[in-house]
Amino acid sequence: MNDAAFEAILRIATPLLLAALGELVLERAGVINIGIEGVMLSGAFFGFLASWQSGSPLIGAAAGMLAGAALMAVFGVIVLKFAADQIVAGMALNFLALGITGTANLALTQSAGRVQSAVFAPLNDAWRHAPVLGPLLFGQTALTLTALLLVPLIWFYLEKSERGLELRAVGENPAAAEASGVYVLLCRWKACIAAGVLGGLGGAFLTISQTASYADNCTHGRGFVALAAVVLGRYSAWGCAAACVFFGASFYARDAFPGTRVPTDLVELLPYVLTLVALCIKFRSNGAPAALGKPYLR
Amino acid sequence: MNSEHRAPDSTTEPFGEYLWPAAMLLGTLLLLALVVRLCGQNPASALSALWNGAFGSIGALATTAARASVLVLYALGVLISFRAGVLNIGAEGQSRVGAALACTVAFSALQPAFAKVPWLGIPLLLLCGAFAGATWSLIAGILRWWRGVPEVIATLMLNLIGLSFVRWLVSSPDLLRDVSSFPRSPLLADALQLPGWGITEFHSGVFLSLPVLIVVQLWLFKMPGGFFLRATGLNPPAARANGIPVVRVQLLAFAWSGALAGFAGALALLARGRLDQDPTYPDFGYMAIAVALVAGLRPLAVLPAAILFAALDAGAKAMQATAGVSYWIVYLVQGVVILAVLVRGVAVFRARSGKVSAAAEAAA
Repeated sequence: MNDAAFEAILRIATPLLLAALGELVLERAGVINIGIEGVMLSGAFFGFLASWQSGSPLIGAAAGMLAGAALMAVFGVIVLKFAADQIVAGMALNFLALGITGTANLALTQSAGRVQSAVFAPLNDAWRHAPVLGPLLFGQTALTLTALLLVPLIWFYLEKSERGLELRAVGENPAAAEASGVYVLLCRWKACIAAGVLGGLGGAFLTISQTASYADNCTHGRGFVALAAVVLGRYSAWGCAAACVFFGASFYARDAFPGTRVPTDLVELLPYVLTLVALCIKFRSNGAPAALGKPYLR
Repeated sequence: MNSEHRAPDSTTEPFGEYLWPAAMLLGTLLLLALVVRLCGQNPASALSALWNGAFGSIGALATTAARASVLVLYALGVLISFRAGVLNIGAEGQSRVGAALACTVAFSALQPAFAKVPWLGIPLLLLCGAFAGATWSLIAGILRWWRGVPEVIATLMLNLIGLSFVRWLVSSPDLLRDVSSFPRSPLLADALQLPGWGITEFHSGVFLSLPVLIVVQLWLFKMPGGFFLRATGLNPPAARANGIPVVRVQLLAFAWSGALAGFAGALALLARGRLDQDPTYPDFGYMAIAVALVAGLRPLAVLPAAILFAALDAGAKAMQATAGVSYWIVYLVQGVVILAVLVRGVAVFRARSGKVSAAAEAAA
């Protein structure tokens, strides 16, 4: 393995990691969102749109986060206000995002021809070939750095901080948490918005850090891989990071050696098979919060 | 019909049962017009393009009917599993695996037998499809029962696995690939293809959905098995307390819903004549969830709902071609419709989350 491979693996893992960390926080608060794919897609599209129009990838990133948060606000209304089934609502979110981005893409960008958005530059191109830190840091963009920094931060927040304890209590036993003075719905609302911001940023990474262009449904199942990473990472921040890097490496292997020994389609189904296996293994428990997926009714 | 009206999940408000579909239809039309307007196009011409694409000619009608028949089969599967309180959203993968097994058998050592006995092939392949779909679905069912794996995640993952797996099958020359072309299977033998009708998607198996629909309706509302299924979905603890084998009912629901999806997949294969890299009707497995929910999980209502969504699907493709509004608008409508149904509330989902209504308890 050379430096270029490390650089590519980390780059492929970044959007997965951002989305997975958001989904992790949300799931630890007891809400599951299979619409993370849609959140990423809307982040990718609106991030691209804003970056193209403004010429600034920073504004693009902000727009991506905003779009993700907006979509998750809709999700929040449905599953928190109306206490509807989270899985079905998440699926509807995917449709909604596909529909909005698809129709808007044809209406807004098709007439402009093939457009390119502004993109994030690597942190320091001159030091890109430095040993270890080159591919891991300098060759990456600010978004990858953000994702990497978020891993310890979210780990600390979830496992060591008082707020994180409250959030976990909301995920494990919302009634008891409410009795001890935690606002369950408020906490879940915050988690929803955080998941939207991170998922949107993860999606935006695809367009304003990787390709500079947008294609319909360009997230191509990455949201489901992020969902898989949370389960495979046993609902911990470090576990998520490890799972995302692993998936990044397997996708890199698929793209780097096309048509040789690794059949593309079989690599593509690897994350999903592993997720099923991870869900089946019960080492004490699989780490999922006890109240995951159950609406909270006061 | 009567027992259907007395179903515990019917609305309690007067006229609600008739107002609701009308409101959904009107809302959908308004939404379409609004989105078309936002895209800078003329709603009237776009909507008329949509209408023409769906119902405007005999050919359009035939295509809409063919798609509706797929949706009916998928949606009945969704309905059976949802009614049992298990959310099998895996029609997409189950139909693919069904088509793949049917295709494998079609090119297996049985080939001479198919040539000799012409009536044997098509029913056998359809059965193979149903069997494979049921097996694929039962994986999720068994994982749920044995390991407590949430069936929605399992079926979602099995969808993605099934799609990639079949893509691998048809792109590997040693397996199902037609080596002389891009990745897809060779054409099935003539005796194994359902006769089509010109360039439309219509085929002789389209109306097979109707008897299936009637059987599901009668079984669900007139047979003990259907009663057990509904009771299980509305209140599992109460069903168990009354001696209903809840686990067996739910596993059977997985099997039957998967069988319907696999059957539909095999049917599409026989109509198309070969197995392609991607499903003939991509994402219809998910669209069927919207169909089943809009139909209020009632078999008879599935038919109009499926026709509507099939029309939307066929019409939107025409609308993209002529009026410059993207086909993706179909997904937008699907999303909004499902969210609207969720906000209104679905009895089975209430039971799943521990909110069991008094009506449901009385029914079980």
